[in-house]
Amino acid sequence: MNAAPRALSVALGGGAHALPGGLLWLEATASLVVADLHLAYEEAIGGALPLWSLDESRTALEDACAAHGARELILLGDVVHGTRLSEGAAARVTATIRRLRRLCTLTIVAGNHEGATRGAELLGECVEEVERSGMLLHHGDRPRLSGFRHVIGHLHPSIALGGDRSVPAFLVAPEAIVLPAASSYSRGLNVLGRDCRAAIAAYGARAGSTDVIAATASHCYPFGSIASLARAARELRFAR
Amino acid sequence: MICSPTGTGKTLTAFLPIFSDLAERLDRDELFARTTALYISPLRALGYDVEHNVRRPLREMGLLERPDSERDRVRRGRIRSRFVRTGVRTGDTPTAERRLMLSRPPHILLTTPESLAVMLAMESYRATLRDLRYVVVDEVHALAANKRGAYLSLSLESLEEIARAPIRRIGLSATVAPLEIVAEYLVGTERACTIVDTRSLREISLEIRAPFTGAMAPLATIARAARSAIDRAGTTLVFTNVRSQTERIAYELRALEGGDRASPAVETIEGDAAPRPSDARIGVHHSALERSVRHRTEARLRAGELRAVVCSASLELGVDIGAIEQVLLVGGARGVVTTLQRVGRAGHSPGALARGVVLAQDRDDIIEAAATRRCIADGAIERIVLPRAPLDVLAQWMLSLVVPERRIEIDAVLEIARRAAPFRGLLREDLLACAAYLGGGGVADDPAHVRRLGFDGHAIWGLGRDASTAFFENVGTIPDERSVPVRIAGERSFGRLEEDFVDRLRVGDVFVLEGRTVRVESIDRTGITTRAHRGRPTVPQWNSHVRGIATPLVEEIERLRDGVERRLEAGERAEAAAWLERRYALDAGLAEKTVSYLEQQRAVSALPHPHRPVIEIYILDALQSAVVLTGIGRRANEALARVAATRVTRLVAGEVSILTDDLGFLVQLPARARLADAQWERLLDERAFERDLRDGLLGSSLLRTHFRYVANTGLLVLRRANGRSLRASSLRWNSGRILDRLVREDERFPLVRETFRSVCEDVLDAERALRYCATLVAPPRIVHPPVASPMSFGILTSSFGDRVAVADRSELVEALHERLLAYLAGAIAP
Repeated sequence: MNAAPRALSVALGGGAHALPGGLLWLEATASLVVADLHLAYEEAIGGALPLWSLDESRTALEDACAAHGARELILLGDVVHGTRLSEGAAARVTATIRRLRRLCTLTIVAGNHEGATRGAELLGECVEEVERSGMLLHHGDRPRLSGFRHVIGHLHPSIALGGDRSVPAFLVAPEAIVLPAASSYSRGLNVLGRDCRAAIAAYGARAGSTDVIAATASHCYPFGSIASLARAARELRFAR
Repeated sequence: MICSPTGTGKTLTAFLPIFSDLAERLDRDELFARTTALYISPLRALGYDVEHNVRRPLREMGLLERPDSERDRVRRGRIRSRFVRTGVRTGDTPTAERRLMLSRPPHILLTTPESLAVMLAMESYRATLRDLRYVVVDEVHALAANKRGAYLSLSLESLEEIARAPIRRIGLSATVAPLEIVAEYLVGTERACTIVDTRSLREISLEIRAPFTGAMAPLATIARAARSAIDRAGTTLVFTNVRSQTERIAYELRALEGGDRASPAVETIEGDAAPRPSDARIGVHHSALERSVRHRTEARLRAGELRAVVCSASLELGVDIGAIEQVLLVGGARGVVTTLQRVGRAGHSPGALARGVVLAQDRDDIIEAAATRRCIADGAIERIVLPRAPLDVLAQWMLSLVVPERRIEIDAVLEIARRAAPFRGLLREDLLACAAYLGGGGVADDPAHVRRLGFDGHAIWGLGRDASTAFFENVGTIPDERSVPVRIAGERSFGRLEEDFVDRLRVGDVFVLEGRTVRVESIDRTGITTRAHRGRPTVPQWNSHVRGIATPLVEEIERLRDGVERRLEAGERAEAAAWLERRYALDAGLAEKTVSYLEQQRAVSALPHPHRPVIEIYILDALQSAVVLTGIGRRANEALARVAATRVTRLVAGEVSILTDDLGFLVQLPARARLADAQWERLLDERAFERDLRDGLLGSSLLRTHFRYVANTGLLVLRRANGRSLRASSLRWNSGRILDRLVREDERFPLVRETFRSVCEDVLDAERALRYCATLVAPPRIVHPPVASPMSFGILTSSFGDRVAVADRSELVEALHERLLAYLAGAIAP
């Protein structure tokens, strides 16, 4: 895939589509996938702060499910930022999950932030992986080999824009699709960095054949492959 | 309040009446097992002080308890001690020792401000402090001006609340001014204080050497000059202003000592041929080094094993370092008090002349050193400023008042807090806002689920053990300076690097730390793995700890420039040099260097007037860049630069970069953007200054970093919870996003206001910057110099410093300088 004009969705093959807001749409099962919500971030960092992002995340998911007519919502790990929460915060997270369950079928995949119990206490039933349309969906904190194309989160891929600014981005390779973090608190992992290349290499993906699609709240921006983006970045001196 | 230079025996002075009191009680058989005196020092390593200043004299007087001595006995219902006990309680004190301290309280307890705060919050310790008679606060000058000291001032008032009788406070300080403010800091707003000022006891001499002929000396030349000074005298301390310079100079000195200095021309060769620190007689000491490394260096210095130690501010304070013959100041010390403190480390005995030598790296250093000497002679030293009611400190202290389950009325809290000098102007509404936030009130109309204490509008109270843990695990105001350990593959770590610096490091980069040249092998969560490297460093070092020149010095430098300018204006060049020799005791060579420097500046550009800046417009790498020369010091320039950048951003599209030093600041426009002279002229308008500064700070890493500190101190976001560091267990919290959100929801939130206050008042000098804009006598003078002007060399080359290897910087300056000379000689047409 080459760099292309911005779009409201980008087809990734196999009936998967990248959507604004970092959501993934799976045609066959009408599933909406979202990774790394990091709910209750404000408190899990040790903060005595209002849980601002909790309702915002829920509303965004409700709107997206309604807009696409989703039959299933898949939370792809790191649903919460931490599991040691005050009673009040835990109750609100649970209530949020309950409301999402009312929306459509809710599938929760556990992530590393769900702690040793993999979320069971706070989120109810969680699974380690699910298979949809011939793809294996898991959080990505425990890389594994399989004959399937992987769909993961965990890495928080993003394009660094200088300073501390960045824009979340999908990574799309024949071997794996990496979703950006839905949490607005994520700093992101620069897709041009070594750590990111090393992480996708674990799935057999290479920089030359891995595409970067930036996702803002309203649009998707296909940037072409990591390798060509890296060249452009060097020439335009916008990111390191 | 006793003010006298380091090494004149003031700690013993403070303790003598206490020893006397204890001895008399012993004679009367009325020495009860209660703590009588508390000694508070900002230094964590108290071991030496205890031995030298307390235990040794007690032992010599036969008052000190020996391990085999007879225990206390009970008579007439009270425990009476047979000897005086001392104890140390710091964060490092083992639990067993702490327990013992409670059952047998030491008569003299030595502690740090943070440990005092912890003790005050614990009922068991409070009981042992009820009969306290004396509090000795050491190194007051290092506490009064910062938040750590602000917290201590509140703790001292808390102490007063629990003591049965008024406590006598004794403060010890090195040179500081004005003493009245420091004295008020010590005793609070409602008590009288006697000031003992013996500052004139010791004399210092300050010599200036400028080992260069052009514009600047490369560090290797400075090192050679240092080397010959070290050879002539005995043990030497070499002070630098930046940590990275400490490393570079030690590297050069060791190379000179080893005689096999790697030539810059030599291709880089892998291997461990670089001189190893262990064989060297040149030590390095700065705060980024592991504590054990620093202690070893101190011990070797005391033992006379080292010829010289290259250090940053870390050896300025009272760590005992034995006999020092001379002090070298590379580049100067950026302040009068700092110069006195640093040079005062030499000739460490009363009455001895302390010898200091400034090794000037460039011509600005000569001017700075000359002005410093004049200020010392005039007794013009920096004025200490107490932080103005820092609300983060207030919030943490409020929690300490109520843990685990105490209750106190808001009126009482206000009364106690206002007795502490930094909080004399504390507003009731600010106190209430802190209480509301700690009480779970959240932000604007959004409550938080976590409450640190209970609050009902009239009183605050503790919420039991869990809530107390937040206080005990996060006590203190020292920012959590994020640093990353650096190790050689297969060895233990030998130093640490700031995280901001590490963010810019890449595999393959070469840098110097603890005098070792190393190449980065890998960077991961656990630290940086390196390999010894022979060859030049490739990475410009971190400069986040660059100190700005302090105020009286800035003003004296203005007088010096102005004096020379007026004489040059009148065509009296010889008189200008003669005036410098007279007023600043410069020798003819240094006076000539200074005059020709300012003369060159006038030839290609202009000299900034105290009330009229010069704006030099350049095109650098095709980008329009303005160097605004003000001469008002780095802290004020930093504020001006942010205001200017905000204004420029409104006029052009794209990224505007800024860079600051003591002389001025640089504003660089994005590609293709150009401003007309008339637009540059309006850059420093005083109108809307505060709004523009605020806009310029929002989204800056400066504000974000300080918000992180404020949020940690004010317990908005904890550093530690449940016995572990939250940073290690989760991602570094996103202080930028949280701050943005807070500002959006409620910009009156107490910790948001505190963040702006501490950045504008404690970090930047926004007030001076505004005053400067308000008192301009004419719009800035706009010039388009044909070549870089000498006063802008520093700032122009530091902007290049981001792109080229460090070793090249002085070469760059030389190249600029040669260009300038060629221009002056008529070889380059304007």
